[in-house]
Amino acid sequence: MIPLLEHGMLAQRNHDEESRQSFVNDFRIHLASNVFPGNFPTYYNRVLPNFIKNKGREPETRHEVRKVMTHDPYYSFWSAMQRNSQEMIWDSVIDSVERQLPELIEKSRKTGDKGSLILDPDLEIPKYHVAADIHLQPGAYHSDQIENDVAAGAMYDWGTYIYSMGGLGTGNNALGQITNGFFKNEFPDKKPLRILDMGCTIGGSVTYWAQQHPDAECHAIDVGAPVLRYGHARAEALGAAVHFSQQNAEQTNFEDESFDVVMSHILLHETSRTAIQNVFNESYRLLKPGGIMMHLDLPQAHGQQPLEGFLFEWEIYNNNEHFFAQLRDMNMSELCQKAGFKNEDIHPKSAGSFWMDDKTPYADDGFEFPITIGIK
Amino acid sequence: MSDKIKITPVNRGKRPAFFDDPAIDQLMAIVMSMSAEMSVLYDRVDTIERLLDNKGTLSRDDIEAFRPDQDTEDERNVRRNEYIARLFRIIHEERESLVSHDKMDEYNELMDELAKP
Repeated sequence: MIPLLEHGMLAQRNHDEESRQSFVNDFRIHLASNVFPGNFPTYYNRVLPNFIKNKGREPETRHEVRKVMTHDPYYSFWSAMQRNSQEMIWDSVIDSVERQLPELIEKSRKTGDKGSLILDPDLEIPKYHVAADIHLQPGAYHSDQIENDVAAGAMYDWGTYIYSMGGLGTGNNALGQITNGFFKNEFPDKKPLRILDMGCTIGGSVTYWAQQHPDAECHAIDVGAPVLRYGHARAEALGAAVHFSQQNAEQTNFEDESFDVVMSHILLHETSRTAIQNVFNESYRLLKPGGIMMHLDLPQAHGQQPLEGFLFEWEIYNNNEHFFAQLRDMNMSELCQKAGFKNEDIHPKSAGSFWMDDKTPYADDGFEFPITIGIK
Repeated sequence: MSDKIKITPVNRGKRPAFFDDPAIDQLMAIVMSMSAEMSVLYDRVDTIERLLDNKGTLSRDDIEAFRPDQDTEDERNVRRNEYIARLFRIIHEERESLVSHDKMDEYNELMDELAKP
């Protein structure tokens, strides 16, 4: 695997740790390109004929496909391997983080002061974070195991890079590159002065925005303290000014109409039915008149055939992305309208690596994310 | 104190069962871990061989300090991929035994369709 670009906070891997991570990376590429595609002939040659024999018709929904496919031996074996590969990601990054943790904490406390970091130890971590560790990251994004912990951030940096098989780019900022490229194309005349990224984790996206918009004041919020500590130190190490604060995107302490851009990168599917509406409401409240809301997330179910729809949902059931099951069928425009956006100012779009300025070798050129735009 | 920090490698949430017997799920995890460790071992042997080729001698520190350059990593990637393919020969055999079909193309077309703005 091509290593992440060096920055001051990256956990250094020893000989075997580097090799282990490379194996997990290559194994996941193998699963995606050689094993996963076998689910199609399995379905059309084995599962579907059986279904038709029993019911006299084809499955009508992805849920019906799920009931039969999860009993097929080929699918089950692929699924079990995929789940293991996810857990192996974390196993392969824990050791180096654990070994260097005191040093990483020390570094995070002696950062530059271009940006800032404000934590709120009293912030209630929402239930949708506490109920299950999203993406199976042990301890998720919010657990402090020791004082001033940065472990969750350090694990997340390497872990998500391996998860994406390099697709997030060697700067771990592909999603920021996508939203930024998309924004520049859609709104060439806008010069944002104040930008907010919601659910920023280690700030990969917002740090990229800060580098691209040096005159703008960039803010980033998340509920997880360890990812914010790490993200702040990472941004400083990269020479970017970002103001991190520990806040819930459902209700922040920023003033009304104080941002030109309010955005998020794959945050929505990690919230809840109530929370997602709150996030849209809050986005509307925070935007200046004429400001732009951009929420980039994962594809919805509309237009997908039953089998494709089912396969797309593997992570819901096997990688702790539970709310994605509901988000798949939700009407984003309706959420925007309820938040206050006028119908003509709501634009469901999509954006992908086409908009990236750094074409990393592993970037998947075919994949596009839906992006919900609202103009206040 | 600092050397006692332990990150518990356990994730919270319901563990899905893929096979009827939970022991098979556990065995699968063990086999996967062994596969990874064998690959790590192979890279370590490769490092030792390369160091011996270049220097004729080596120390543990030499091994720990060795990092593959891009050419070496490319060679290792090829070897790793062949290794993974050998490991899962039985899975590919099953896949190959099923008649090929054109639905993967349909899937890719659908993805392209969804990708349009």
